Order: sequence, then C-alpha cells, then structure tokens
Amino acid sequence: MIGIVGYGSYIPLYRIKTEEIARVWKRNPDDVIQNSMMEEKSLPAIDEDTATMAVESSINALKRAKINPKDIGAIYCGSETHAYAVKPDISLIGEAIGAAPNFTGADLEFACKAGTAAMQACMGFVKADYAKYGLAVGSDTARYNLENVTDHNMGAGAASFIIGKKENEILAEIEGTFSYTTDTPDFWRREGEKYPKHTERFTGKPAYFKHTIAATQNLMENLGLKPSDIDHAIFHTPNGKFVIKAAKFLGFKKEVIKSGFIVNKVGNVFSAATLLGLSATLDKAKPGERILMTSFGSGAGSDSFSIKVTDKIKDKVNLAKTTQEYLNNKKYVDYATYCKFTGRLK
Amino acid sequence: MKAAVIGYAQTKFKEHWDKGLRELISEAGNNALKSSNLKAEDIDNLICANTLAPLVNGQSNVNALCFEELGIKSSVSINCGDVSGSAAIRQAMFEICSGKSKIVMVLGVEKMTDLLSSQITSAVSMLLDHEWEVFNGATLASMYAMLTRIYMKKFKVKPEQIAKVSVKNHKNAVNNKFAQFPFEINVDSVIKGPSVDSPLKVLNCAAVCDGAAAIILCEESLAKKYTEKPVYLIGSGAGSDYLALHDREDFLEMKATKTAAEEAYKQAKIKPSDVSLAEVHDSFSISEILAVEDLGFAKKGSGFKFIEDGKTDLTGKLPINPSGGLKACGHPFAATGIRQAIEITMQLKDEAGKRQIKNAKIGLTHNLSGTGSTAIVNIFSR
Amino acid sequence: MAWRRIKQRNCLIGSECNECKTLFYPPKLKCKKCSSSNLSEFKFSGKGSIVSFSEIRNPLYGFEKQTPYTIAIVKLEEGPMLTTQIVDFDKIEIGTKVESCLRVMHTEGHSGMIQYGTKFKPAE
Repeated sequence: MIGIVGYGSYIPLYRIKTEEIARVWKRNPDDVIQNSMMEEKSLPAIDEDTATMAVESSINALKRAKINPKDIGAIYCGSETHAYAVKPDISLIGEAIGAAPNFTGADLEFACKAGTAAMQACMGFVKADYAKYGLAVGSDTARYNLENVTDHNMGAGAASFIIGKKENEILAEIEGTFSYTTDTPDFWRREGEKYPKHTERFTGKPAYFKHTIAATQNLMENLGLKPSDIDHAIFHTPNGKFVIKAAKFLGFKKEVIKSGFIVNKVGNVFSAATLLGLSATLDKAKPGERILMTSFGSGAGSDSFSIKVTDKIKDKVNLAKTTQEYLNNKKYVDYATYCKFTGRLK
Repeated sequence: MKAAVIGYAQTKFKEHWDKGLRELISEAGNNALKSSNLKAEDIDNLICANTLAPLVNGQSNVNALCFEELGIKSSVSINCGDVSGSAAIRQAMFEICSGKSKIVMVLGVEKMTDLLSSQITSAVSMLLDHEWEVFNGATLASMYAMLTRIYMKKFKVKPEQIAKVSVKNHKNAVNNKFAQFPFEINVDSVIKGPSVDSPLKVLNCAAVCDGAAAIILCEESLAKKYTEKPVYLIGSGAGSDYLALHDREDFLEMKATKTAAEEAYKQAKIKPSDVSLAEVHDSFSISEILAVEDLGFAKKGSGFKFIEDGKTDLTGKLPINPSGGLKACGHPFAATGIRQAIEITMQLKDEAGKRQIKNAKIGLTHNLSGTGSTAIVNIFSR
Repeated sequence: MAWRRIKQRNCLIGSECNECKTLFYPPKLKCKKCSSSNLSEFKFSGKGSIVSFSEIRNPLYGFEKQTPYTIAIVKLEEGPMLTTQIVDFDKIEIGTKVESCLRVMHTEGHSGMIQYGTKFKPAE
C-alpha cells in the first residue's frame, strides 16, 4: 500500500480582481470572466517566492502527517518559477522543515505537471524502500507578459504531499498512476527569458485535452474504473473552462470537479494547480471516496492518479489550515501594487 | 596625574563637497597646533578617530593621512563606532597618565556625504548587530524609532514633548559658527515635518555630515606653558552593553551609559549635581532624554519633562548641548566626541561667546556608539 | 557570509543553557545568566508578540524595492526577543500577537544570492 500521510496548501494573502486588471488594459471584465471564469487571482507578497511558499505548504503537510521530519528521505519540488535557475529550492525546504541533511531530491520542471511528477518520484522512492517518507511539492508564482490576456490567469500558491506506506498512517491511498507523454510544443519558456509563450488555440485540443484524456482513460482502464466510480475529479486548470470540458468528455458527473475547483479564485498556479486542487478536495472528502487527479504539463504530458480516501482523513483535516481558509483570508491590491509585488517595477 | 587640554580646533560641520579626508584633517589638525603655539615635532603621538572611511572612502589607515598632513611622527587609529572620538580622548589620557607621552593630539575625522542615501543608511547601520539586526532590514534610525515608541508609550509622552529636544538644540546652535544647522526651529516644524522611520520625524534626527575636530592634551604640569587657562580631564569612564537592542535587559536604561558615568564620576570625585553643563549624545532626541536620565540628572521617565521645563536650556540649571548637540551641529561620527570636548573646553575657559554659560566649573561629555552598545563619559574641570 | 546562520535564521534555532535552562534567541555561545558555555540547540515555536516597531522609509542598500517595510522587536513566547520584520498586516501595535514565516530578506541584485530569513505576521 502507498499513499498520502500528510498534505498542506499555501496561498498568499494578496489577490487582484479581474476587474482591476481589465481596468488598466481597457478590457471588458465580463468578457474575461466569460472566457476564463477567472474572478480574482492570488499573487505573492513582495518577499515571497516559490521556495518560501513551498516551505509554508510543507509545514502544513507535516502538521497533518505528524511524523519526524528527519524520516523524510526524498524531497522533490516541481515549479516553472524556481527561485534560482541553478540552486535547488529543495535544499532550502529540507533545511527549513528539519529534514536536512539526510535526504535526496531535486527541483523538477515539466511545465504545469512537475508537481505530480514529484509525487510519482516520491512514490517510487518509498515503494523501493529507499526512503521512509517522500515529500512532493508543487509551488509556483505564475507569470506572463502583463499585456497578454493570459496574465489574468497567473496565480501563486503551493501544495505539499507526504508520501508513505504505513497503512495505519495513510489518509488517502494511491491506487495507481499512469502517465502519457508526447513531444508537443504548445507552451514554453526559453532559457533566460522572463515569460513563457503559448500557441493560443493549439494549447487546447492537441495538447491539454489529448494528454489529459489519454492518461485518465488509460488509468481507469488499468484499474477497471467507470466514471460512476469517481467521487471527486481534479484536472489541471489553466483556466476555469478546460476542466469542465474535460470532465464532461470523460463522462463524469458535473459535481465531481466541485471540491477541487478553485482556479476562479487563485488563478492558474502552474505546478501547484492540480496539487492545490487535490489538497482542497482532501479537506472535503469523506472516507471511502475515490479521487481522480490528472495533471497536464505543456510540452506535453499528463499524470493521472486514482486516490482512495481512508478513515484517517477525519483526524487530519483540522491539524492545519485548510485551502478554504487560505481562500477566505485575503487582501485585495490595486494594479500598481500588483506590479510592485511581482517585481514588474524597474 | 591628570591630562590637560591645551589646544583645540574644528572645521565647520557640513557637507564639504570640495574637501576630502586630507583637507579636513589638515584644517582641524594644523589649527589645533596653532591654537596652542605648538609644532608637529612637539607632539609625541597622534590618536586618530575614524569610523566610516574604510567603507565610505575606501580608506583604512587614516592615521597615515594625518602624518602626511600634519607631520606628527607617530600615530594610531581608533574605531569603536561613533563613540570613537571620546574613546580617543580616553586613550590619550591613559597615554599621558602612564608617562608614555607628554603631549598627544587627538583628531576625529569623518567624510560621510560621498554616498547615496541608502548606501549611507547601510554604512551607519554597521554600528548595529549585523547578523541579527541589519540582516533583517534594521537601520540605525529604525532602532531609535522603536526605542522612542517604547518610551512614549511607557511614560505617556507626546511627540510635542520629544520635539522640545531638537527645538532647544537648534536654538543653542544659532551662535555656533561651526554648526551644520545654526538656525531656530519650533515644535510645529518638527511634528509637521517629513516622516522618516515611524514614529520619527526628520527633525528628531541628527544629520549625516563631514567634519574634523582636534584637541591637544598634555600632562598637567606642562599645561600652563601652553595656555593660560588649561582645562583638565578629571574623569573618564567607559561602558559596554550588548550590540543588539533585543539582547539588552532594559530598553529604556542604557547600561553602557550608567557604567561609564559611574566610573567617570568616581574618578572625578563628583556627583551628577556638581556638573555645570553637559554635551550629550543626541543622535536622536530619545538618546538625549535617556542620557539625561542615565547620567543621573533626572529620574527615569522624567528626562523629557526635565528638558521640556527648560532646566537644560542655556539659562537653565543644567545646560545640555549648549553647542547645539549632534542634532544642530551635525554628527560626523568619530569627530563628534572631540567636538563635544571642544565645547566643554570653550565653556570652561569662558571662550564660548554668545552661548557662554556663567560660572561653568565642571563639564561632561557623553558619547555613544550605535544604540548604546558603547558609552564613554569624559569629565572636565577648570 | 550569511550561510552559516541559515539554520538558526530559517528554523528559529536558538540555544538553551544546560546548567540554568535559560533560553536564548539569537543563539549564544555563553549563557548570559550563569556564564556557562554548556549550551545546546533549542527550536523556538515561532509565536510571540510585538514589543516595538517602526515603518522604515529610509531603507538599507538593497532593500529599496520593498520600502516601506516594518521592522520590529518581537518577544517570543519562550522569552527571548529578536529583531525581525512584520509582514501581511493591516494594523499592528505594541502587544500584537504574531507568528513566524519564512520570507526573502533581500536579494543581491539580479544575479546575486537570495537571502532568506524569518519574518512575522499577525497570528491567526
């Protein structure tokens, strides 16, 4: 048995409303909301980055896992916005949470799916008995050219999962995982460039939907699952609409995406997006329920997971701040402050 | 044995755009020699006080510049923050009283205005604990701002009352031609003036400036040879405390000042009430208020009242900072302690002109480093 | 070199006197109370309250972009005091309860090191 023994979210305090961004670029906010479903998004404080947010969510995961941090033998952190280009975030995370020095790990990048890739890496380590526990983190301060409408979607946040295999500690069992990867350049950021670029409509069907659906269907087939077996589903959320479309195509009930649907309030948090959705879902899920999670990373690939919630969940949710509590605790900023906090002022 | 002050000189304290360390040293040092009719070869040793030259001017070994400009055959440098000037005087006392030297020049120099504002803020914040205060963003002014806030809350003090310190010191400076700001201000201009680190206002703070000051000391038996009215250094005390404010036992009592004062009073065989005037370290208004209390002039928590009531005015019972203090004279770090000693010397020799205090017999200087990690108190008499 | 203090700064590791049990943060090499040199590491909870604070408008070199920022002396629940920054607040006063968080202290230009450290925000 392998599964999640602790999980945690982190969303910064600050938000900017879609209307405020639309005001500056003279867009009709209703058009933006209609296209992307984005109402507001989170942004980091001026002194927050991928590493500091990852520490916050990992501390929350540790609070729920109640394990000795020294037993964490592997830490993987997925992000598109690592604090350094060269110098790992995981060394800072491991030291800050008390796991150092006896652990391995690396900073991962696979566009928006490096967080779930981190989870798979931890599963491998723990299953092979190379580590008692593994810590998987997705953390990002997503950003895009300010003038591009995509900037409306760029959020900040982190989610952490501690993977273990002791049955009496597992709050959600990972029943299986399946990945689907092809060389599909729909979105990228070149070395030394500040912002990524995407291929507009090409990011949809041949990229997001193709990979998301293939990974999910393969996993369900392998595990013999029908759409009706799924109580909660989480897909990557570059915007609000894609996930609804994906769930519908797969034949899932409309409500299954509800628990993990936070993109309209935080934005697309890249590598943290799917994981934050899972964290939010675990806050609400009941023992025995099955969660299906499929990430998508441009370039392109998807990792799909089937996760079954155990009885343990009841004792764990309240040990740390829930995703909803983070969503509720917010302070709106104006566009100038947004630019200042995200380092856009020269 | 005692040491006596037989000569003194200072440059004006201001932004000396056209002068560097060399010019400042030359002006103060040569004029000090002139004031006592001494030649360079009469001086056994020079103690140079400087704090920021290694950072601001890229210059260490400032005492070697003194040799170049003044020709005094031997010299050393001393740096323990903005108390360095007073520390140099204290070292000169040891040197003379031990019999090692007969005549010593003490020269403090600082050239601070060649940096941009955030650079000089970083430079002066070197006086704090770098690892545990400055690393986290603390500046020298912000530490005094926090002290001010604690004092105001604990003793229920209004900003108007704190402002009185600057108002008094500016008034005193009007007749000091060497002061950076020789003009009057009022309470309104302080509290309605620009804000710096809250709750401080610009006029609660001494300013960065350039300047040099020098005095010449000799053993007491020789003093009359060089001046009709020598002034004697009759007591000196030094005190230390933790570098970081957060490590101190009591924020509102500067232990370093108390330790230094106790030692100085003991050596001088006087009580605080015997002091006729004092030059104290008012780098920020709160530091003058705390000094007045910790030197034993007023009870803890009543220093602000003591000043507000006019007791420390030029005409008051105990004039404090008749020169204008650090606030109005300017605070070129290592030159300040020596500038304070010059003021006391002038007052005790009846040479202070329009700001002369009548019957001044005993004068005290109080000088701090940083937020009070080092304090030196020197006591002089006629 | 800021490196040697990383653990002490980022994890609030101070020291405890093994003789008289007094706690210290920042860590000390010698007990302030009984002068013993027999101290061991002690991890602080990160909860405390504000003793004093100041909003800095004249920043240090390298802190210009985050100005104004708020410096404070915080008294930890366990007793010791430290100098830190307060973030994510609307209003604070002397006595406000705060808790620790890891943040960027400053960055050495575009290509230099990122220096992290512990700041505090109002406690939940």
